[in-house]
Amino acid sequence: MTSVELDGLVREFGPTRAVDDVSVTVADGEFFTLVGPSGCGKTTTLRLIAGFENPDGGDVRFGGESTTGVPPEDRDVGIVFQSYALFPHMTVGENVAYGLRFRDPPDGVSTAERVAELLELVDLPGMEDREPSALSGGQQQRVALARALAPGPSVLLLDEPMSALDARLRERLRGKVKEIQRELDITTVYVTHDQEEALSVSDRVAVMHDGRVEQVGTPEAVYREPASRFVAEFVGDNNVVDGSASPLETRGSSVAVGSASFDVAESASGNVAVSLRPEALSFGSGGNELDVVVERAEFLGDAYKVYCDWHGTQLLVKTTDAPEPGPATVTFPPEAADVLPE
Amino acid sequence: MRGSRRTAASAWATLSRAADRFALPLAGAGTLAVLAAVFYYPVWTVFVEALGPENPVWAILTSEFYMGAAHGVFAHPLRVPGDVAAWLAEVHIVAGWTGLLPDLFVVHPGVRKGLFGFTAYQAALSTLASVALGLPGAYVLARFEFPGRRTLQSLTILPFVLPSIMVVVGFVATFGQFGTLNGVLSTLGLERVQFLYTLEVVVLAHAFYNAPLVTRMVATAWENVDASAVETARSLGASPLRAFRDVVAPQLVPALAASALLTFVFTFMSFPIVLALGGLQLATVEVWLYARIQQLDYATAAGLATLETVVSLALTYAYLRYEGSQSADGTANPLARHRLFDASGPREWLVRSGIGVYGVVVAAVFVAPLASMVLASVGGLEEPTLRWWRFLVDRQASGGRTQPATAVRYSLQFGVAALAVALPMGVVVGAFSARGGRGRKVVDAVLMAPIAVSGIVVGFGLLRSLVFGVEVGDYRVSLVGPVVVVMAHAVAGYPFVVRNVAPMLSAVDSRLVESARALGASRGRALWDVELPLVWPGVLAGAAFAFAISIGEFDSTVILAGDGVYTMPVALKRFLVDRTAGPSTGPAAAMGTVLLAVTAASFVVIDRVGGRYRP
Repeated sequence: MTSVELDGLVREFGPTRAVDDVSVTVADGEFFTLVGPSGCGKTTTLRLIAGFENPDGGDVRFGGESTTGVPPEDRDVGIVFQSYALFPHMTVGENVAYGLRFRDPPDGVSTAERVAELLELVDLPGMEDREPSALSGGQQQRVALARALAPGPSVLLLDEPMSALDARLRERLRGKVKEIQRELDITTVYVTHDQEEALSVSDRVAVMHDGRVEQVGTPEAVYREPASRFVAEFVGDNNVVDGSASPLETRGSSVAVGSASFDVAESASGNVAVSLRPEALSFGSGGNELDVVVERAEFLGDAYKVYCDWHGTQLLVKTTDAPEPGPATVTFPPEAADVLPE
Repeated sequence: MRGSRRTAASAWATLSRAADRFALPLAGAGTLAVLAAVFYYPVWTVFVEALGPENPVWAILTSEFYMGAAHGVFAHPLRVPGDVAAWLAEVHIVAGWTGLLPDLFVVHPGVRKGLFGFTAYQAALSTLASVALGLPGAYVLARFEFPGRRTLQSLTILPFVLPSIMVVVGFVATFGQFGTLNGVLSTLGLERVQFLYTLEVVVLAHAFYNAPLVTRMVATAWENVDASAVETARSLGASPLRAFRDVVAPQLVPALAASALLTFVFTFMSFPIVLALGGLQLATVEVWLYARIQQLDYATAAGLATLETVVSLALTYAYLRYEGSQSADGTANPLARHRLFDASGPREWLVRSGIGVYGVVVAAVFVAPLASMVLASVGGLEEPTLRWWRFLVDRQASGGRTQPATAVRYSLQFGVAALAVALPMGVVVGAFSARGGRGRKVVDAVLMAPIAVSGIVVGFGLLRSLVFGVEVGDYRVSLVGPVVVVMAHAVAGYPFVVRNVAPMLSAVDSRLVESARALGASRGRALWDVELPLVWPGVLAGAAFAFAISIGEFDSTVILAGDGVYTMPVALKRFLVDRTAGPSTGPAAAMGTVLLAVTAASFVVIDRVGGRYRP
């Protein structure tokens, strides 16, 4: 097993910097996720790690060793793509065995034993002779995972592996991926645009935007203490309210938004952006009280998403029971509001 | 970096791994070496000679014979403005006819076209004729459904594999003194016509070759028109004609222009058709160049070759630029085809009777030459005979200068050998072209240049360099005829392999290759294990093309072939000229029929496995 260090990584396509000075260290055995909207540079970063792209600046190091000039076939990585990329002219067994043409199976087992072992691992025992086209999307994706793992790579790279699958299958499969990752204790870099997926499986997450890393941290840290407005808006449903802060005499500050205002626990002054998580807001009284107009509610099964208008600012509230459209009061404690840096 | 886990790496495994790794770079280097040796170096020697001490290029540019009125620009540039003004003062342009073709006559004073002017003039006429003959075909193929449509559509690639010298035989058999046309005329009690050695028959033969190209390219563009775009225009109030003008036509014009440009390039460089159907009195640059080589006037030949290559490269570059700017995306929703044999109302009947007339013309132009040739090989309908076929056999037995079986044997040997060289070259270049990164366009152009340089020029360059001998250090290297012929054929054929393989390779998901590489395969190994098994139809079609090109290659072969080494097309030309067998095209027709059978077989392979050639 090995760590993966990205050191000042830069990749340019013509005038655009797809990857702009990315420095991140993925620890040995860590499940690390690059998350961001499409075009943020996360897939290019993954391709730089795999060796399909060469950096215009910076370096990728595996276990402290530079990979400059090392072609993909010598990097000892396993990769799984969104499109599965199974070789259509080979059976499932031949697909899984392909990497064993170039690397000996670990633990001195035979190729056939290794293939059977891997198919067992991904819950597809005895499927060796099937044609890839005869399998469902989820099965194909598991074959792709088995194929990537068969030679016992030291790094596993997953490029939006679930995006082509339906929601329920996606949830089941990501549990499976996580379980296998734990079992093999393999350093894993996962790329996804789905922030929910990123939060649910990762040890740590890097949120990327315009080729740069906005924040690196545990899912909890990224969700609760976003380091930037972009992270606050991208990770989870959120309300980001712009206002002007002035310190209060006791502790905390008051944030004025137009003619209205609310208190926050942090001390701040000047123009600020405040993140108000929808689940921290509720209807009722106490703490900060905002008089809003309820516009509409969406039923989610376990909760309601309620869209409110607060003096021209839209506020999203997540509650278990929906109020009728019309005037209402939204409340939250000052500690629930998070003043964003800068 | 996985060395620690690789404990059982035997010497053999290391060796095969090294072979894996270097196979593709080596094949690439080999391809470049072959190109350099049998294309770039020979053509370069021609250029050097052309710009050498005798400076034939300048001699040609300042010669009225070669340049016509334009020679003044180079000979006495200061007089040009005065000359042009004097000329303009007296110019009268009168429209009229040259035989069957429209022509413009500048009444007074006359303007000499010169050799280059005439070559461009006949190429322009040929392009017009090809468009006129090909465009209705695109309409019929793209807009109508009828039994055999697919077959007709695939037949439009046939001209690419038909040897042009064989088409010449077909035209002689059709329009010659004793050809099918005159046979029909005399049966009707009409006078026989002399149609050979006229500009008309040269233009017609060029149309035979290039109209299918126009048809194919325009029909493809037409099929890519999105029906919903037309429907949107109609729903916004456009009449059918207006919708055609505003939506369909703008998508057809680029394809039409590209096909016309390509036709112009091909007919500008056309050789056997002009040589055999036109003769020296209708000589183009290419034919005159060949005549100079025959006269051992190598300096003038080099000058002509250089100027012609400059023109053809410039035109091909323009074509490639133009092609590159077109998006070639298909549509999932093409215009629905009308049923050809299902008409209601006078308008539809009118359209269909027009198509009927067109069908007759197409049959006359395309079917008659091939049918006449096969017919002529058995003596025609009136007195069927096998004597021409027997002549071929007897000739073989008598040990004459040009023996049929020897020609067939050489053709097949050269074809197989050229294929063996062209196929790996084409696959390597195709892989690079489909996946290459930066600098791809430049390399593409360098690798595809052979398609834009005439066979005569390449043959001439090879003759003057490798065949006559090249000084390498203290040694004089000289290659014998057959090796050079095979290499020239391979270089002529491999772009067709590229053109077949590259589009299919670029359609293969690049993630497949990346998966293979992440699993430990080298780039070459991934090509071999993953891509080639998926694109084998393209490889096979490319192979059939390369083989057919070699079998039919005439231009460079006729220069390089010695007395003892000749192929079917060369033998065909000798039989056509050699009238020891009487005033008949019989022997040539019999030989041509053999050639037709071989190339038709190649075509069937190309068609069955899905040839993707898009010029």
